[in-house]
Amino acid sequence: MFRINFLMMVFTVIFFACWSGNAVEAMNSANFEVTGDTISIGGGNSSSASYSAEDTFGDLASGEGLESANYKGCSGFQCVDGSPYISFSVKEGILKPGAEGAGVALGSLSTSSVTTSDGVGINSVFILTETSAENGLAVGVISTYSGLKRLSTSDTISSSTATLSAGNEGYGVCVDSVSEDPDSPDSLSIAAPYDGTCNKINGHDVGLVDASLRTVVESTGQIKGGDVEILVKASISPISAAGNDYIDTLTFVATGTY
Amino acid sequence: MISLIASSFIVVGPVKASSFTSMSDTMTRLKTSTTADHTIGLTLPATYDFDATGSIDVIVVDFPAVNFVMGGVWATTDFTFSDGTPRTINALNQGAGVTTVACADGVNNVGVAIDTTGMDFRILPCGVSYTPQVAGATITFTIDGTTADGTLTNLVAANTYTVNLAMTDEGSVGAHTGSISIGIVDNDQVAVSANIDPTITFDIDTSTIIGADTATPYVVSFGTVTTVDSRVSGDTDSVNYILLDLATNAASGASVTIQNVNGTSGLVSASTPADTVANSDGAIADGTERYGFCVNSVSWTSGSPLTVSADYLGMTCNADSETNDVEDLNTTGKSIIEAAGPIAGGRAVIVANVSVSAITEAHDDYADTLTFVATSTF
Repeated sequence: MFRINFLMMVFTVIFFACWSGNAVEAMNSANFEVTGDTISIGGGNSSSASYSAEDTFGDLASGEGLESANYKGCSGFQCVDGSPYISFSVKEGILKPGAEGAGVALGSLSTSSVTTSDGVGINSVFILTETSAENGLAVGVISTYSGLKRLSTSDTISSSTATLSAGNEGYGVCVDSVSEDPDSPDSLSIAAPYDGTCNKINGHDVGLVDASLRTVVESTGQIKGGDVEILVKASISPISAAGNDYIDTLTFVATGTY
Repeated sequence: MISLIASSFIVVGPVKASSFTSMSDTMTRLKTSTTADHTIGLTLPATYDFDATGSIDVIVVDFPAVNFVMGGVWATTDFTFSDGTPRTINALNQGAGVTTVACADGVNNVGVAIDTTGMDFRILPCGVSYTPQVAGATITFTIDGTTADGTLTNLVAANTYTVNLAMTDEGSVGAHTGSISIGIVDNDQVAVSANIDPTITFDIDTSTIIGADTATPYVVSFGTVTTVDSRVSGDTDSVNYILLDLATNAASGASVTIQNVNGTSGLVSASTPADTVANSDGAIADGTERYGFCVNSVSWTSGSPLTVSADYLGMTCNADSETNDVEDLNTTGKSIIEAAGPIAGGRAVIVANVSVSAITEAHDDYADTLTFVATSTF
């Protein structure tokens, strides 16, 4: 009897020892690797040269403070799932949020003033974006005609990076504002040359738009609640050809780096 | 018993997998149901390279099969591949379930295998001669999904989708992995429009000062003309020039025509209408009856050049000169100056000329009326 009980104890001990060796898939990142983990009741501290973690078994994850210089932990289903995420919308309007497909009608251009998205009668472009991309986000713009071009002729108000002024021909865009949720892990910044003096009254520094994808706003990390307002501006000279069919198409692209 | 205990201590070690870093897919269009180009970027794990040493490595770009749509027939020109060194797409293979490609071994040669149902693109070195880049290299793979040959069309529904990346390394499938999220939207474009109203500015001045700006009435007085003293615009005879100002934003420019009430009768006596100082092509000269006009100069500040029209081009025409050429006039108008496109600050200096012969009747009431008309073509 004693021998049977002893063997049962031995097998029980052996079972627990073997079971702990390969219970979960190895976790690693570029800087660390957790080759084995222990599923147990209670939890404890784990560490290496560059990371540390306190984990608790059976408790609801708080999601707080799971980060050091080289390691970031993430609690919750989506984190375990590891799915990358990005969202993006482009709308136009006088005020946020705008509407898809509303366009920006600059109206009748004049040699006596710069025409701009003005919050009154000429739409702005509103962009909303979020991403889980840990290496950040870039929102860029492409212009179909590299300027405002007449549909019926080749006459074009070419785009260039410039400070627009009355009586001088020019066209481009600039960023009036960027923001993100207060708890956004990172913040959006305005990329040059769209970061000049830009407002709806007298700030007319614009950046070039052309056939190349040009970054307008960007981040180096994850973004929550990214919110951007872009102004479209144009000016003409006395020799800018008359016509009622000047057009351009601006294509916006959001790219996350994971 | 001892053997059972011994076998219970055998523990299988953990599986090591490495992730790509800095993964991205830069597309040219994000709109639903729209073709787009893709630029896939990724960085290999630090100690791994992409090579054909031992076993041929394979990089897999896996688009959601139920959502993206391939069309056309892919060509090698639809792709580029770089692992720090631009490589040559030597060959490709495409079809349902295709995962391999045969291509010529070469130091820079890669092949692309396209699974047209699985929506996978596989890139692999063609042979052992492939010269690998350093470990941890950055890979760039571009797909031209818009132009002719093969196409790759975005999904029909706006949503967030995942593109999976993987690498077979030394025969180990999925040794390195990663995924990218792309956001497909209903609308990724903004239509911008504008218009420019048509304008034209035309003004006449008469003065002996070329730069003058005068008000109506516009008058040219020749004074007394003799057979030894022809009369011409300028300071010598104090005869006014006719000065024309022209500006327009007409895409096809503008022209100014000249016409008179008397035609080739020229200057007509008001008291005796049968008596005239006739107008005809030719040069004025003392003792020769002739009346008419010529263009001395044209200038402009910007835009299309202001030019002398054909009928008045090449004529001798100088201020104070009593040997100028003149053009015949008519009552319907002929072009005297023009611009081919938008012009600002156009200015023409017209010289008035008259000479008489011994048999030109004496009167103090010779007169003519000129009409200038500016017309823009928008």
